[in-house]
Amino acid sequence: MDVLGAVFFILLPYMAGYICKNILRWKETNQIETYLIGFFFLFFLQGIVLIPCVWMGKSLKAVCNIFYGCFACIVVLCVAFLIPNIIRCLRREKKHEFVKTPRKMTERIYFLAMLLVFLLIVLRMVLALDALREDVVLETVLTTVKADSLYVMHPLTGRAMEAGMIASKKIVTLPLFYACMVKMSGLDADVLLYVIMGTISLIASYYALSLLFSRVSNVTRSKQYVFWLIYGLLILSGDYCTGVLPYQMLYRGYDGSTICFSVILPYLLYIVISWYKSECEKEKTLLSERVMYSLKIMLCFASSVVITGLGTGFLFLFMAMAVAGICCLLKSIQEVRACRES
Amino acid sequence: MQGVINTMLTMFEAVKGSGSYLILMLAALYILYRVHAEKNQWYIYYALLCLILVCANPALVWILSKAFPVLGSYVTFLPFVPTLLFIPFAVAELTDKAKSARQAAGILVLTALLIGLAGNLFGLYQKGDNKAIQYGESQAAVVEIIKEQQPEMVLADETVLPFLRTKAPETVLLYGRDLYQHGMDLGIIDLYGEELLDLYEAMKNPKDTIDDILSMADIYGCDMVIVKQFETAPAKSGHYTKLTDNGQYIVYMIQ
Repeated sequence: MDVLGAVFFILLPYMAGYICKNILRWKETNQIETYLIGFFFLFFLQGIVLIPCVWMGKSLKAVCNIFYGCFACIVVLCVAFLIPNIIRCLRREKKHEFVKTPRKMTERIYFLAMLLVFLLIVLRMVLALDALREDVVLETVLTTVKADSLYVMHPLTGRAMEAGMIASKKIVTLPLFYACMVKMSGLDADVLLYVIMGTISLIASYYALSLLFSRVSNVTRSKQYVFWLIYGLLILSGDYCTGVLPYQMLYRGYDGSTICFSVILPYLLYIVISWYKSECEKEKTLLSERVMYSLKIMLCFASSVVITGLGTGFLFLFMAMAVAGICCLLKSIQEVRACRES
Repeated sequence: MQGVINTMLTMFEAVKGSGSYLILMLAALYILYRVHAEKNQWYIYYALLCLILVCANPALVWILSKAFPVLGSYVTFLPFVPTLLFIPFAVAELTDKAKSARQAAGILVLTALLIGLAGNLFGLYQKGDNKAIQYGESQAAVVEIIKEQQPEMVLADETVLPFLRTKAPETVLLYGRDLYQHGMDLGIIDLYGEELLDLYEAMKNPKDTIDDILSMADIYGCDMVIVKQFETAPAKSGHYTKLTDNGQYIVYMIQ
């Protein structure tokens, strides 16, 4: 049951992303981006469910029931979209013969090396389970599960808070979402946080960085595997200083700030650069494409708000605007130069 | 000005402690410069480099330290720049341009060696500050006692406090780590009183203050007190009894 729960949570972002992709008809979205969109959508979903429940003083059990309903809808909708797509693919296979490109030996070696490094990182997370961290998130999760209440008990003492919490901290609902996952799946809280969520964040960060990489370079499969291999090595050797990203990925992959800096930030930069390239390369960018990019940026902003707070969310938004502004400035300079030369 | 200099020094100390990743990153930028000579790729690098210059700007550090004291530190602000992207990016480009499989293998092996030397591969060398604390036998014994006795409220020494709420979540503590770790920003409005701060200070030296500790714990409603072990610990007096002594901690029960 625990293993099934773990597998379900690892696949859930892809299912959610698949639904978003089909409903919003984002045909250009590849499988990697589908996983990431689903990942952010789940954080956004947990925010819109949990924030009102915290304010209304609902119990954890009531929130879990709501999530059961949400996840059931995700599974059903995913299957509903998947079946016609599978039928369509099978019909296409009968009409045309797909020519499979042979994989080179070097590609296979890069892939295996990358996979080995990835598994070593996961092994490292499992081996570090016994090492205790002074971890407020784990304490909050355990307190929430024990008390069956949301931000009512003090996580560090186990007693009821008298004056409560400030509103800007109450909207950070990520620890409560983890408490729901613990209650729903029956997994141990430390396994869920340090291994399952660590692995999910690691996969998402691999995907987000490779998307950004694909925007700044002509990416082949070999290059992508080498990129992932070296990124994995950097994480594996990064156990030197707290607060630095490789350390955060190894020990605190569940933390909102780790997810923000290793997943949301690269993906945000990828969207901004993609939008900029789309504006440069196409004569006329469709309104639907602009809406798609805007929605993705707002999804990143909303996710970062509910997992770390308003401050980081707005900072990311300003960063995206700053990068977009720099790109537009450079484009203007290029156009002026082109005009002068002509 | 001194604050800005101190903050920049903190960054360089952190980078030095990071095993020369800054050098690897700068080398990666140079490699990318040599590999990507086309002008139309440069806007990407300009945008990323501008971000780094913004982050390394003393004026910005000063502004941030005034507006957002928590974010004013470089070490906190550095994650905003995805520096980790450059090193794998450069290696991927180099291996792609390699003339043979042997050359590509050489590049990868050399990179792995450099990263291993710069960092702390698989925790083998234990360089730098590792916050992971091992859960020892004496701490585990204290947790077992709490699970067995099921006290209503516990007053515990700060060296065992981090374990109690994690390993035995049903434990209710008189005060948490936020009493003495002032950097924690939980957003909780409740404040601890001055008397609890005095009690915390008394807990640091139980040899001289054990009677005060136990009587104050009783006033606050605690029925279990866990202090650091000391030789002249009283076994029984009035309403409290020494339950166990595991060599590192002494556990008292208050009736």
